[in-house]
Amino acid sequence: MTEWIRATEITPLQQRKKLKVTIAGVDVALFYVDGSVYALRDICIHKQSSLSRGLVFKGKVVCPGHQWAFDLKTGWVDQWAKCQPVFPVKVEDGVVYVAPEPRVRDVEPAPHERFCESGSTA
Amino acid sequence: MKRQFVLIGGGQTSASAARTLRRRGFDGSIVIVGDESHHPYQRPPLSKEYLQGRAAMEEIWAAAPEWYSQNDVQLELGARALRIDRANLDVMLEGNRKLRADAVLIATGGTPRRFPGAQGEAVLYLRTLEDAQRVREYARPGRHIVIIGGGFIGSEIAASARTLGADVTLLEAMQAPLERVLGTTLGGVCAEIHREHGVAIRCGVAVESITQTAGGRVLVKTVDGASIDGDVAIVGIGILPNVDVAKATEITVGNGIRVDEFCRTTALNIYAAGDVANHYHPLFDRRMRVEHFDNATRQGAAAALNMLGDRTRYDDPHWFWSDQYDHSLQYAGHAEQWDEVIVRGSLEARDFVAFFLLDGKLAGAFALNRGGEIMLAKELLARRITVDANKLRDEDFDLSSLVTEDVSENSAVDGEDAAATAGNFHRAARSGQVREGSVRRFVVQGTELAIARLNGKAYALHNLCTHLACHLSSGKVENNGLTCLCHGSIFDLASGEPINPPATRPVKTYPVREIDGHIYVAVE
Amino acid sequence: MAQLLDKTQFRAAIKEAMQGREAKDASFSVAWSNGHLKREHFARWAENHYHYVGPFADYLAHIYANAPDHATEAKDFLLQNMYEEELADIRHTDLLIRFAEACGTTRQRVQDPRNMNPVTRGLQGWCYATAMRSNWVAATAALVVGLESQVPDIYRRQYPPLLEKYGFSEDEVEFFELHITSDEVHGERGYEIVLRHADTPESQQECLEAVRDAADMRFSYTKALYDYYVKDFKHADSELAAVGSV
Repeated sequence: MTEWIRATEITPLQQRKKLKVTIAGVDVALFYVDGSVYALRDICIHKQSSLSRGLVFKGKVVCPGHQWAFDLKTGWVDQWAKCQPVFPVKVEDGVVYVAPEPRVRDVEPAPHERFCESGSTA
Repeated sequence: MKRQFVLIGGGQTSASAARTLRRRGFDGSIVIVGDESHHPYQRPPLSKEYLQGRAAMEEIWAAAPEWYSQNDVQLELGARALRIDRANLDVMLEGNRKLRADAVLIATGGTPRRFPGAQGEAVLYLRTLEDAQRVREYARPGRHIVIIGGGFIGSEIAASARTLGADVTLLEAMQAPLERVLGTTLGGVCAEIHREHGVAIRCGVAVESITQTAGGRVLVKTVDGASIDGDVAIVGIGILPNVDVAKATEITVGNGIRVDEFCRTTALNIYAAGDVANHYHPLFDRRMRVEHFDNATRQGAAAALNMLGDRTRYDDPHWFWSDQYDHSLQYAGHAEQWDEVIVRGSLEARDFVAFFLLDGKLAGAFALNRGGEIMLAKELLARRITVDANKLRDEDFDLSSLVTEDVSENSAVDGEDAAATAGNFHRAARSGQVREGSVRRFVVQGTELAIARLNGKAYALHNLCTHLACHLSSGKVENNGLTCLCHGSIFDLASGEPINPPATRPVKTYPVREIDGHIYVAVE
Repeated sequence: MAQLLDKTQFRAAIKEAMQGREAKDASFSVAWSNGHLKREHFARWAENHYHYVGPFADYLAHIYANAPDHATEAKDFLLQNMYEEELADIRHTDLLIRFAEACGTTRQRVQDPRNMNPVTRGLQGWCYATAMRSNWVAATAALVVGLESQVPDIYRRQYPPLLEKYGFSEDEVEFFELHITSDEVHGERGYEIVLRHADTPESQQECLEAVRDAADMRFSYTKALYDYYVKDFKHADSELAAVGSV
């Protein structure tokens, strides 16, 4: 049974496109892209920079520390074959909920598993 | 017989090339020849986290040591390549050994430039793991380190050593550290940061001599007559590219190994990439040789793609970073000259991006603690977007609005061939290979195609006529379509429909894109 | 009385027959790879080369006709080689003419037989004679092994300078790039056919002589290009002047 924790109302996230929240004591970066919400752990697995201070571009969030580019959906960074933890997200009645169990992959995701420009909900 | 690719050089460039080759499904043999005894490792941490003892060996490998055997990549460590036989591409190694090769990558990096006349154990350079271990010995309280050269290596060593409590003097011949890259004002900001952390920084004065004194100390004399005594002198005055293998192979060199935008040297099937490569850069329309780690990764990958026959232009805008104290310094582009600098943010707050313009065009950008906007600067450079100085300066103007339009096929975000990964398009030919009114045969990802040009537009059809499987590429392009030589069937170029017998079934057609002088075809 | 050589020995003997007379070492080739030629020299080269390689399919056709039916693989290979030269992808002579045009000459001038020098004319004639009148295996040895198999080595040296030193574009010099790979394969197949079908000592010797002659012919063809167009060739009247003076 997934425990959903209330993160934020959708409106501020829609306006600013990104928002840092705390879920069960962990900083989580939320991104609003093409109508969907994505959640990744805010602290970068590389050198602990803050992803919410980075930029989203072509389906990836680019960490401002050393430009590691993580796929929004899976957290995978191709160049280093590593994975930033991602969190399950759902939006209900204008409110964003995040489940506190992060998902980390150890193998490269298939193309259909990654962020897709035609839109997908987390 | 299985192909074999030999990668000369045991650093990040070769590791990146090897990874790319396997990722792209290359099933031949790969041999990496490195003259160091270690598996390929990353050098940037040697002046930063490794020097500070905050990173263990496991974190600085270019690829985990198991990766090589798991991916059938042979490592020849502690081996030196001497030259390549241009006729058969055999790579000659020291000790009378040779490796056969179908393609060779030279990624031999560079060697630190020596300070003339400086000798002894108290004069150090920083390039290898062993160098870093030696420097580490001195990076502690009670020791005085004299650093010659205020470039990125010198600055990072200063920051790391100071963080560990050593006394540090940094000597820079120009008016400010990093002046060549950042200019005097921004270089001055960096100097201030060092001073605030207690580094004795002296600019505008050249070093005359470095001598080891009795007792194993060093004495550094500057041209203005001053003398500085220290426990050790660390020299960071640049590197000389390792071109010996290229010279012995009679490949053109000059500030490194000369390559074009496809990483090709002047010898067929021999490529070069990384610190050693003097490459023609299409975006800046000039040659350059850079020593960025990111270039090692991306150019190594680009060279690998070209070795596989997947012609890829290497036109990444270039990016590097430098972590000093708890500041993040990042740079995108390559501005050798500029006539205007626009600052977005605040120099005092140490939170800004500085844009370097030449003739109104963006040439480079430097960010202090603003890594987010550096990626945008890279995109602006990659897409050659004209920038308005006021918009750059105005912090309320969202720079990402300049790059959200997905017009270009190129992306500076990841290093993969963007056109190829976008919907299975693969490079088939140069545009110039298929002239108006002609049809030719190309094979893309194992599929045989007839590519024709009519009225300026390129078309791709499966090469076998649906009548009796004759080669359509042997046929003729006529005003209404493609005529098969054998029995006269004619096919409409766009739809593949037969418009003249004897063929009755359509021939398969494929989507075509022409970008930047190349024809890309989408095949499954 | 010569011995019948085994495949390894025969292959080595063929290689040896070409040594010391490789066209890549002739003066014109050396000047080419060192960057000492001008575009006009390449134009003259093209105006000669066209008449040597242009009829290559013709030469092969004669060998094809002379080869017996049972040599099916060999006949098919010759046919395939002809097809590739003319039709499969692009006509090779069209690529040669494209290069020639980039050097400042025209299709008409290249195709005009009056523009080739006498040594080229001799080479063309020799190719026809060898193809038409020699034993088909010896002819294959001469043209496919002696001549065609040298091409990758020669062009491998000559192609990069065209881009790097002489400033041609890749499209302009595709003729060379194409032949590096295609002639590598042809040369090797040619070796296989000769090794298989030269099955008597006499026929082996005939092949070795044919290969030697082919290498000599190509070398002198290449050298003549230098003598005629590059080396400030002094005209006949200066010789007369020398004779007339005291």
